[in-house]
Amino acid sequence: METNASEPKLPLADIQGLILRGYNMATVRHFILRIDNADGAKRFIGNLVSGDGETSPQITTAAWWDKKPNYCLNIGFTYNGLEALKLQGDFSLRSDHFEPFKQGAAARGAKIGDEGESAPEHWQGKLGTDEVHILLSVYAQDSNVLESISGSLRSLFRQGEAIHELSHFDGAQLPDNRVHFGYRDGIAQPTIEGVPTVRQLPDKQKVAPAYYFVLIEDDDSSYEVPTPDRLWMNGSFVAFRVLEQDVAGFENLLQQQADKISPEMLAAKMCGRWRNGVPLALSPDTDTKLPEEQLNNFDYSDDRKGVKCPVGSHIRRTNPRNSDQIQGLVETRRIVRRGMPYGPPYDPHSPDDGIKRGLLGMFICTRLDLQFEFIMEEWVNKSEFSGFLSNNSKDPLLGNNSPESSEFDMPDEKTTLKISEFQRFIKTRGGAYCFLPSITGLKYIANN
Amino acid sequence: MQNLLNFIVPIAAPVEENYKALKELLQTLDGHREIFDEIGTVHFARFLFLEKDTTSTNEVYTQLALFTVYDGDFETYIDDFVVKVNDLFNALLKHLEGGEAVIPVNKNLTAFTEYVRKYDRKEEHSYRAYPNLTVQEIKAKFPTEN
Repeated sequence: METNASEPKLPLADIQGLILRGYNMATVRHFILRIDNADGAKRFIGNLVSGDGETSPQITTAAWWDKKPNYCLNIGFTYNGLEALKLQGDFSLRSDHFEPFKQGAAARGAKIGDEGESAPEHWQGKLGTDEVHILLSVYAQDSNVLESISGSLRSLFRQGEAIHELSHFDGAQLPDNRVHFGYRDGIAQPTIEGVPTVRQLPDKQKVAPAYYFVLIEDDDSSYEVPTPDRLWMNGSFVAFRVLEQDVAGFENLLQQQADKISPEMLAAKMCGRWRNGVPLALSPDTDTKLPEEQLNNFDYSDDRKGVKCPVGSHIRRTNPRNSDQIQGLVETRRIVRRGMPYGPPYDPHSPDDGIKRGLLGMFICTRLDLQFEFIMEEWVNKSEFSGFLSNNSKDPLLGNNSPESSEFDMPDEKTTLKISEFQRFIKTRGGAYCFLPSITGLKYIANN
Repeated sequence: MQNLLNFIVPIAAPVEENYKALKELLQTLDGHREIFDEIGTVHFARFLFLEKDTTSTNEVYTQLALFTVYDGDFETYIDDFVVKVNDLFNALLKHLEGGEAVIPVNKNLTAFTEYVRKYDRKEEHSYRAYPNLTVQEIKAKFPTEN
């Protein structure tokens, strides 16, 4: 175990685990819940942090574990959810820094590209409605454990008719940490100050201060922890996203362009990594495997124009790594990403199987507006931030593209290969902005 | 898309003392050049003093002005400036009318933004030869001019 820096020491046992660690579990179930009875819901929440695993599954913290547990459990609340709990005393967020959380994911949808088919009115499982109060996520080593924990939780929901299950979303890992498009995922995460890790990949980017991911008092942060402290301190915010992936459409595009560029090269250019995770910045011509410790240890300082890795590629847009080549700073926009695929693997022999597949994503930060929403609005769905992008171009994988306006440039030293008229490959099927309280915060909720 | 800021604010009392302090502070701005390059949204920025204090026998001015042309929405990138030059902002504001109320800037971003808006004068007329070109586009075309 290594510690990235000596200061500050975060109270790991008070912070929900998924904020600071990847669980690498086989399956996940995200319950979308409505609170029908505040007192009963508070009892349910209190049981989750009682320390008595016989009575109720327990919330997983970021405390170090010697033996990996069979399951991990985390809980988040929408602003409507906090209101539905009818807490005693004022918990209102006076600062407009937390306005996205107060307004909720549906109200912010258009800003970040959730339009057309992706608009909140089409979201699934009641997501986007005022009824969504709690996001309860169970990660499990296998489906038996998932069902067993789910059964325990569901019987607790029913006690006193306190909690109503609106829907649930199940995900499961694909082999080799791939996503349905075939790319290896989850390679790059911020290195967070003061957080111990088993195996932190070397990273050319700066170590990120913990206050970007956990609400703590710090002279340098751009917020004050809201009051009451016990509720908000050591908590975090998450944008939960249900992202449907059009794999057949994506593979069609690769084949359609095969006379101009090989399908695997186009897939790599659109992502910024080969499908096996090797970054174009280090290996622009071949997907020959590189040592694991190189996969996150690069930047684009020698590739301003994007000859090796296109400036418009997915990983370069969502983390440009070098502030001197874009508007604004990269270091203020880092987020933690946790994702798990849903739906069965894509079978190229039956591309039109009609089965929905995609990614259940958790994007974690302390300023949803400056971090998650900024990335979606400015970097994914606009082009002004860089001087090397075609006007109005968007992220070719994640962007809110339409065949009428989409384009993606792949420059070499002399010319630029452009593809256009491609559709949106990732559609938003649901979203929720949630607060992830600390253990102290959950106990505060239970007792107030 | 370029935007203009015409920020003109009275110097706090005692004006002569604060004017001198501001004048000294502005001499240090050259040391921040790399930060402005890194943030990469500002085309031009010039500080100057306006309105000579006619009651003083020394050369004293009563207002500080900042005229700038920048890309993007003010609110979108102001946090990045604060991350990098919070101390400079705080030091300047100490000498400006009403400035104490928004110190420290990084904990009072909304109030700071409102403060800047309050003293931002709308120009009667402006001309820009290339109003839609950004700093990043210009640097991309002319990398050796950086």
